[in-house]
Amino acid sequence: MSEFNIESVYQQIKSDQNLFVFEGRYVYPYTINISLSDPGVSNLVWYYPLRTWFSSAQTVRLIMIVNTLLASCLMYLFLHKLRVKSELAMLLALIFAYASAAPFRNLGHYTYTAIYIFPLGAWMLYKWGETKKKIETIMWALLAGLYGAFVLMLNFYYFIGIAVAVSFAGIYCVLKNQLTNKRAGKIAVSLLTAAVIMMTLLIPWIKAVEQFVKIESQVPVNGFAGANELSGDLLGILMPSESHLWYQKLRSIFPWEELITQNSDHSIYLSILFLVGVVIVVINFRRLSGKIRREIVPYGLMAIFFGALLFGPFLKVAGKIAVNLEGVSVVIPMPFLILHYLPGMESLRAPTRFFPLAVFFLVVIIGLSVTEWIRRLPPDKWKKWVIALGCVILVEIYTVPLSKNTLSVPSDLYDTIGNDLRTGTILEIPFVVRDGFEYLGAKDSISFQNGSLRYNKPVLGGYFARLHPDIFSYYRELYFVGNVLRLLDGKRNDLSDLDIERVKRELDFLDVRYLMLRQNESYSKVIQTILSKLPTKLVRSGQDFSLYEIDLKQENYDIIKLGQIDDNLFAAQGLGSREDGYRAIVQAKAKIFWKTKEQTKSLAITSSSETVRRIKVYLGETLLEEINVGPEKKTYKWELGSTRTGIQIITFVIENLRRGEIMNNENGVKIYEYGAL
Amino acid sequence: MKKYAVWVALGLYSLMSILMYPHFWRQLWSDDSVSNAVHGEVVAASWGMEQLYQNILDGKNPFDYRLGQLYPFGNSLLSTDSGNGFFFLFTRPWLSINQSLSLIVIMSVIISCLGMYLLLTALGVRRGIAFWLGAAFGFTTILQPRMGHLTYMSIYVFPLFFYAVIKSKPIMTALFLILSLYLNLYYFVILIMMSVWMLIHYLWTRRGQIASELYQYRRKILVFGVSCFTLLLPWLVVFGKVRRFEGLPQTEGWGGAIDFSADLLGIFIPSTYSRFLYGTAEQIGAKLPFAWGIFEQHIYPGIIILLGLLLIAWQWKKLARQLKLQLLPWILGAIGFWILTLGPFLHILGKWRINLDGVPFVIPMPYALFHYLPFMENIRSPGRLAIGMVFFAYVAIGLLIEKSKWRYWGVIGLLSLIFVLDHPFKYTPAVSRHIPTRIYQTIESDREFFSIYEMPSAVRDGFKYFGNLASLDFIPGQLIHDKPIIAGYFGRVPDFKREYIASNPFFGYMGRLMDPGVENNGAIDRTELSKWRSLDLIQSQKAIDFVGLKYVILQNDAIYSASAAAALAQLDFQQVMTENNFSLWQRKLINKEFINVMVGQSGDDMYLGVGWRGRDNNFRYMGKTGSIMFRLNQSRPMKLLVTGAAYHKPQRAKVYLNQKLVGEIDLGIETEKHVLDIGSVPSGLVTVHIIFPRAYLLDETMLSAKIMIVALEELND
Repeated sequence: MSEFNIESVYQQIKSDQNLFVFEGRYVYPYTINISLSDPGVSNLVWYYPLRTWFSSAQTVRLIMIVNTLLASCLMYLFLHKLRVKSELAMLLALIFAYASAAPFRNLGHYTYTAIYIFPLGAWMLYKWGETKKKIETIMWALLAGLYGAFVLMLNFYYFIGIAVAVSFAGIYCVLKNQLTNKRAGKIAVSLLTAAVIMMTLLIPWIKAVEQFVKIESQVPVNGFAGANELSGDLLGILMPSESHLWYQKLRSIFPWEELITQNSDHSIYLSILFLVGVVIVVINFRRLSGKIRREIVPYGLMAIFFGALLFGPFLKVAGKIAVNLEGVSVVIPMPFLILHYLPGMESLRAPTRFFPLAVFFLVVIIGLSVTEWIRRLPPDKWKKWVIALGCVILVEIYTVPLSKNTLSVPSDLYDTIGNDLRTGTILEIPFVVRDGFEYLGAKDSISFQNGSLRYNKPVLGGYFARLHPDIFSYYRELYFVGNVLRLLDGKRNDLSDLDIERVKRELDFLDVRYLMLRQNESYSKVIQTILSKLPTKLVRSGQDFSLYEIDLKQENYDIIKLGQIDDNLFAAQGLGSREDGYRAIVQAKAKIFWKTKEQTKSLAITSSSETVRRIKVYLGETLLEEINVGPEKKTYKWELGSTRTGIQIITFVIENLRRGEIMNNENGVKIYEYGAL
Repeated sequence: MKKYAVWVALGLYSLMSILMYPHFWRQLWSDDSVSNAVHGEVVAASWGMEQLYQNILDGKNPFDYRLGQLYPFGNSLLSTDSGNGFFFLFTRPWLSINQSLSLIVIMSVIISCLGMYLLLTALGVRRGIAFWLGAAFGFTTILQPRMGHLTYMSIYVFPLFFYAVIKSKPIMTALFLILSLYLNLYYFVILIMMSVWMLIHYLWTRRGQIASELYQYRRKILVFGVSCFTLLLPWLVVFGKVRRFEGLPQTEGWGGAIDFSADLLGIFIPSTYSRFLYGTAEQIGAKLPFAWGIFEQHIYPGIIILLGLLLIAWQWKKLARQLKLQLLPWILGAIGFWILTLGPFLHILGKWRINLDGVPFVIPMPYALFHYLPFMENIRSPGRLAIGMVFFAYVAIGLLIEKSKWRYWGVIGLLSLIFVLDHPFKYTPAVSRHIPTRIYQTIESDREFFSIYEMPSAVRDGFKYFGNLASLDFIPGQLIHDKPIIAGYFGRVPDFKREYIASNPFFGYMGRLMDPGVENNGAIDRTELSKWRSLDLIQSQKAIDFVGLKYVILQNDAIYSASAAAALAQLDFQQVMTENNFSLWQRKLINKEFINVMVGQSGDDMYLGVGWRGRDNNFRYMGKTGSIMFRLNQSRPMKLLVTGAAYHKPQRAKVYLNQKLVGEIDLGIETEKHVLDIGSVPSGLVTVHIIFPRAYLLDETMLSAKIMIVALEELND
């Protein structure tokens, strides 16, 4: 998945297209705007040059290695800057680099392995704070802007984490009176400069966001978006994840093993020995010198805060977030709850992704306090201990990626498709329509998307972090594709009842030129039976897959009438159920598909609305006009100049529509027909 | 002057009580109970006191069972807060029940004032200040809306208990502790909590000398222990009886504690019963719906306490260390009780639960833990614990004022002004209602032993009811005719007693008939209402004969009257008397014996008491304790036949006849007939209890045996 994302972005760059907008490429025929879905494009810094020589899979693994190396080096440098003993700093840097990102590394979530940004940011903050010269201040402000933009485009979670940490540092300094008014003023100017730089660098992203806001609908988030399920368990801090090598043999010693799901996805286990060290520091805190104590306190508060974030909105103990007190469910709220209710943060759903940040602060605390203690000891004595303990901890934190089922990739068939220069969509079976919450079809069959990267043609289905619920509805309603998805999901066993003419019409509208089918699966014969009734020919058979070419009829869709059978092919988003002769727009933003031929020079839409409504009409990203639709049925027409062929999206944006204002089709905006009328 | 100070205070408090409680004083020469102008709750409370008094006169244990209400089971006076009945010994020879209670209320208030005065002076507070704080405590704002709950007036137990402790009077200490149990179960719990808290504080401050202090006070501790045990003994005896034959009351869930919790802001909301602040209370209530007409949630402690605590919080840093140490246990105690009044989950502006994206969120409070302590689930009204806060707070304020450098007369002036503004209250006298006194007197003159049914009436407690919820007039009626009635109103009515009446063919029909809210009554199975639309005449006749029902008093102008009259006529009742809108129906007692109970067969409900599970295929399971009732015309030696089997494992059960052990039977796991000679069985309604040592769990129900037949047979058969 991660590999697919970065490769897609890479290919967008290479083909001079918008980095953040995949137009009709995946989940065909939809346009997917990933600007607000943690696009992680900063990784292109490494990916772009390395990809020249390596495959996408190799490049991603190389990036993980680079990230880990950078994390250990920068952590060491930062600890060194804090005057932590070198040997200790080295050990702690290794723990930070290897243990805190282990869950993500093992799962292949490579964007979360870029934890080097924490010591880098902290180091920059220190340097920036120490700077007295104006020119250096400006330079640091520029770098901070660059850093901010880089982090935002690297990982949304980490950006939020750093923003919270920096805000806390600022508040802490103000409360501790460490800032004079003059100095605070200077910092404010510097921060403003950094913000301006950051925003300038982010202009392409901001534009993509603007486009999203303009014509796309935010994916609604229900409840805590799964944050309760994905949060860490209190017992999880004492429970190694399934990736910990030695845990496989010792799992029975954990009495709560059966109670909690401690898979790598939301593991918060670091190291028991390390945690014992933290406890020792806490117990002996008063024995530290005042200077070190003062230095440690802000890190400690941050560690507590980010540590608490890991447990999600409500404290989870042994897999339970609530206890039942005589019929009343009682939960213990955690700081993540505050984060959840901040504007724009409601879709944060994986609290454990702040784990590296919590570890970062813990590592600093251990570094500072242990350094103070070992300074009181003769050098020979402590070095042996540190080395011995370090070795034990490194063994303890050693993790391995989980073994995954390997699936053969039909590269030769992909190449065959790639060599066909004609346009067309690919339907690879099995496939899935999936996001972080929902799926249709074969849940784990996501490799088909990588095929698209190879043959550079659109595919049906797709897997993204967030997909609008109407995309799922659209695919679910598709006569053939919807039933194939049900077949893959085990909800149907047979498709012999399908009307072949309707299947043909659907495949034709969706431009399906090639169909790839995995052999020897329970569904394979069912699909083959259908294919035998369609104008298809077997192009090639690979080891596991067969490739069929479909003879497209290329019907004319210049004029589309809604409110008729199979009109669901055109109702992309925000429309109500089929009515006799129309469909109604029932949401603030609605989309319909229109399939054009080259000679089509105009677009007309026949519409009416009980209440006069002001609507912006877009074709693709282009605003055609802002129209007033009233009770009278009226046709609105636009001259288009030249249009491209294939499916295009017409977007309607109803101005000033209050939530719940349109309750049913009757008081929606009715669309009767559209096209080259 | 010093010598007579207490008497002067007593006189002044008495005068103040005349001004503040004129209604109660007036009862001494103008008894409202004559015209039945007494609040229903007051009559219900005084019924218990009268029964306790009657038990003493009868030479019985004061807390023992009385058959007057909830016939055929009767009810013990264990948890009815009837302790004031002891004082009836001094008042009842001369005064009516209502007058006696009124006098006790007045005395309680005066003694409360005086008790606090004595305690404060013993703690070194000057007399003027102690006087006003004593008055503020005795006439506390907490009790302003509680003038229908007169058992809550006995707040003197708190200051006098601590006064006795300070003065090292072990017998007096024990007396007030045990008296609090008899007078008011809440007050006993509060006093225990106070004692535990102060004991912890005492032991903590003297942690180095605990052993030596224990040794030093060993005699007093022993005397205290022996006194407590002696005073508690009658209560313990009945406690054991109830535990064995009925089981102790168990509250389901929070038992209403959530609804009866005070709001976080409740401490600032005066009562609408306040003489001068009612306007403020009404304005607050109009703006904040949760504050409108609060009763159980009322915890307004008064301006003196609010100002005093505010002052303590504000000046805390400036107070001398010695004073802080002295104040700390009282202040923490007050805060602790305030927090407990907030109930299991914090209420803010009337809301206690908010929805956080599908997850219900509540703020649990210490009361939630308190609820899980043994027996504490019965403390279901957290607001009633507020008196603990008030008591502690007044002591703390007294100590603070005493150690302050404020002008003595200035403080007294201020206290008196606040007292006059804040503490007077409005008493709402009960409206005079007609009760059919002549009918009751006619019944009273009938010397036979029989039971009575009144329509309207109810079997009711604080949670559930069966019958007509609003009618409590059967209680004063019972006090007149002194015959057992098939109705009852107590703080807790064991479920089996209410279910017995509700499932009885006759009383179940009549109860549903007179309940205007029957469709919404959660205490009955509403899916079976259609089954109860008609009267089963044959079974009803049996039920009437079984409980020896002779008289039915029927209100003639109620919506159900015609149906009820028709039913009574069908059952051979004859109208023998009318009085205003009431009529008396009579039926001749039929001397029929009921000595054979086919358990698990239709109509068995009227013989079964505690501990039976639902009817199965010609048998019923029973829990550890099960009771069966029989009716005999004449006393004679009998044997008990039990056909049944132990559940899961063989067991030996003890058999009791009218709560007296008569033998044991051994039940195996195979169904068998068991015979036990139980000796002479008295005539009338008798109850046999079969008690097993163990019960085993099946589908969340504890079971001991399955029983088919329980019967009495002539010994020579």
